[in-house]
Amino acid sequence: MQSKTSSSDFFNKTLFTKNRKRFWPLWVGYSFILLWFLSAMTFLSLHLQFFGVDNEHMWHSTIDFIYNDALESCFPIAAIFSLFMALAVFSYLGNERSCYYYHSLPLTRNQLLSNGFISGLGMMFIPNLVFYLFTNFICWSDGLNAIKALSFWLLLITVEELFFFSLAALCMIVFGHNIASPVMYVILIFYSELMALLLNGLYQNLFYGSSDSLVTIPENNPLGIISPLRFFNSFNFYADEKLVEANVYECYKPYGFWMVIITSLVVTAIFIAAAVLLYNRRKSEHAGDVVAIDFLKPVFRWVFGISFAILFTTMITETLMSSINYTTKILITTFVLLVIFGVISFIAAEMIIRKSFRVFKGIGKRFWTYTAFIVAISFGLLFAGDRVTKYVPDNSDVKEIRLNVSSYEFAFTDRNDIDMLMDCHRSIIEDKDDLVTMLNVSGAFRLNYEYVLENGKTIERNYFIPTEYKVARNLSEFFVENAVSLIFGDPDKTRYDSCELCLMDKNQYYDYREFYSDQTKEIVKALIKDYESGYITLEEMAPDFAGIYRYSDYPGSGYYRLELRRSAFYQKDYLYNLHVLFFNEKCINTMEYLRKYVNFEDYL
Amino acid sequence: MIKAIDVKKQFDGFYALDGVNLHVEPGSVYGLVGPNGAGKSTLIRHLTGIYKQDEGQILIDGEPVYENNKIKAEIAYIPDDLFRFGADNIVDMMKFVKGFYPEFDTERFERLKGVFSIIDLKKPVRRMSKGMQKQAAFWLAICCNPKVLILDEPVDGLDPVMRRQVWSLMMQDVSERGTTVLVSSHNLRELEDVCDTVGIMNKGKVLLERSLSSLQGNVTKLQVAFAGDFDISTINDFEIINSSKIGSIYTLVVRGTQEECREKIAKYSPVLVDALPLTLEEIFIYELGGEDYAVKDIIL
Repeated sequence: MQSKTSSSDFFNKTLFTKNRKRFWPLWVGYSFILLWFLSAMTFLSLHLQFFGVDNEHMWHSTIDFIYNDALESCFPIAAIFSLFMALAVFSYLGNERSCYYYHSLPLTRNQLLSNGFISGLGMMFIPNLVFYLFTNFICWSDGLNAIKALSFWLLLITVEELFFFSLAALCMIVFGHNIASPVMYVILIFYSELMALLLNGLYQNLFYGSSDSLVTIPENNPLGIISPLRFFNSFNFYADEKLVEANVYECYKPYGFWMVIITSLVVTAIFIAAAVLLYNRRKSEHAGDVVAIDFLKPVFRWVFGISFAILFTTMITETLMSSINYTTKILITTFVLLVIFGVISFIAAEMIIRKSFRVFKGIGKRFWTYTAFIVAISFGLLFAGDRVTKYVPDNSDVKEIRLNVSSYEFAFTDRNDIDMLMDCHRSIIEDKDDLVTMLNVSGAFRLNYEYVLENGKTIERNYFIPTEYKVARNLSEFFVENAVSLIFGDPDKTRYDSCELCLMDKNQYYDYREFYSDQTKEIVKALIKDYESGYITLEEMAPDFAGIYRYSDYPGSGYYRLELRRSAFYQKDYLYNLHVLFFNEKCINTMEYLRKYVNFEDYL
Repeated sequence: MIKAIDVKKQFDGFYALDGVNLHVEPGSVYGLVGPNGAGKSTLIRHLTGIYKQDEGQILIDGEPVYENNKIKAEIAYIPDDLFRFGADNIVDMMKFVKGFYPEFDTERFERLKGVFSIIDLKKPVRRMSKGMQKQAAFWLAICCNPKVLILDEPVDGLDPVMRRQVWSLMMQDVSERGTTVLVSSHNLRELEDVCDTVGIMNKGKVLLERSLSSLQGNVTKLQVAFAGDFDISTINDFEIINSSKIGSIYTLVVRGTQEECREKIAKYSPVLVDALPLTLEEIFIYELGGEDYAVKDIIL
């Protein structure tokens, strides 16, 4: 007798039809979401015309909508619905009765898995295709060719759904409980972000000078996929300015998009391979267990134990002891808390695995191994903290220092500047105890050092410096003396991408004028001339910069606001990314240049 | 047809199956009996390809069952705890089952509507009573025209009339199509009527596996009375499995055929001898008595 499904048949029509009929609210709901977020929004973008707006403008905004909003919406839609679909088609794995029934059918585990994938993904891919075609039709009927933009959307949502569905399916296989699986799926998506946040919080208590970003998630890098939330928003489509006038539909260029697509596909392949491997090793009797794969139970215990130890320790030290950072008291407290919460979390993990509070019998060996590890790790953290606190690289190893002072960024490559700043850094470390005491009695500003070493590595430190501290005073003098070069760089050597002049018309509506690279360079030169001629003070022209060393506010009426952009798009070197500058009628050089393009009489 | 060879299965250090050996002949009805927790359901889940054994072999038609679609398509299985899809009625269930079993007989399904007339075709199966759900499961299982029918407590919850119908349908399949049936039940009285072979399980092992006739023929219940005082312990010619005394009449459960037992007891000059066959229930109780499973007197 032949089974209706042969062992090499990876599609079973009966199972597919059953899933489609059983879970119709899911794919119908998903279709409505696409209808609204893609087709309806595109339609509105094309037809919700304000008075006096021509077709071409609407087309441009529609394409812009697809490349930005529609692509951004792929992440939440894919992440949420992939989970729902996986929960639906693999729900039988979380319940003994259904698990036994499915596994008694003449289907191999690989066939059950492939059919789950086909059903779950099919319920998303088919609506994707339908609404892709429908939205193209909407655009086409209005005379807009949006095939390229919509194809990017189709590709992205398909790849994201593959990724998230594979992850959700893997969670369903590894975690055999219908509540544990979605919880673990959500935790896995946010795990790296959460751990980076917690570890940075913990390090800030332990290490004097620890920056917010001591533990970072790689960006613009395939490894960034450890944080899907960040990764799937790390690409961009930008309008190539040279092509804007020529062809509105072809002007968008992807940045980071193909890296996201290829990395996602590679990781998805790994997820699927893991799913096949683990499903075949998953015992039916583990349906309903929190961890359904025997050899992953120790992994769960350890990861759960360590993660929750860090979570609770950070929570308590952050909330109860934030005012006594860097003291021996907090170091010892942190150590003790890590050990105590580590042990409690490990026992809690065992309770979750066994679904019982009676876990002490037979736990001995692995409990003591884990406890010894936690103690060793905690000791290691304390020693590492001390070393990190005192470490400053050799002057000769430093190629560049990037300084962020109250969110204002500067880069220094001059050897004298580097030596001076490194001396300041060493003074800060030597005076640590005094600085911590002074913080409680005087105002402070935030000072961030980023060393770029000759070997390409970077080291980052972050401090709160009391304004009364001697190093703070030295730095203030340094900033004032070098204000022009720090704000503008050398106009002949620096590339300014653009600047934007903000004007207010007589009806009190804002009007923005964009100036391209060469124009910006001329504006900067004119503004420097005005400042050096004494037509405008530093506090008036660059209040953000002045705010570094003393309180400063934006000027009121009578000033024009200029946003100077060093880079219109992400680049590795994004220093001086954005400066908000002000000038007024007294700046005759700047006004003279700008009058070529702007009729100032039309504006307030 | 069905073979389990030295099958072992461990759950968290506990051996649910501890070297099970079982043989079911083609076209026979095999009754699997045993106390609660003996491992019957665990064994059945191995036979249906749900569980994978840690050691040993499970073979049907000489082929392993686990991950074997060809063999699994020949097995119809009714578990003790039935699964049903949320809103599906029996017709929806039939369409689903039909998609997996190539021998599914739709005409037979139609014909059997009369037998299972109590089942409302439009009512979701989950809203039916336990007994009706069992009927539905049996209806679908028998329409698969399986070579092997594996039933875990199949008539539990059925009324007496429906029990008889179900057994009758099953026996019809056995006689007409040569279906091999393995049935696990605590209703020994009913098994006695349908089984050719019985396997008694306890503590993860099949203690005894024999045809029902040889099983019943090999143990005899003797009711004897002696003149005057008689010390029962002086009888050493045959194995006494159990003895009790009410008034002057001894009831002895002994190994041997009725004729052998009559001959041997005659030596002790009883004034009254009556040899009776044991019911399956009695065999079950007396066999498991040696396995620390004797019926205890309950004193409240």
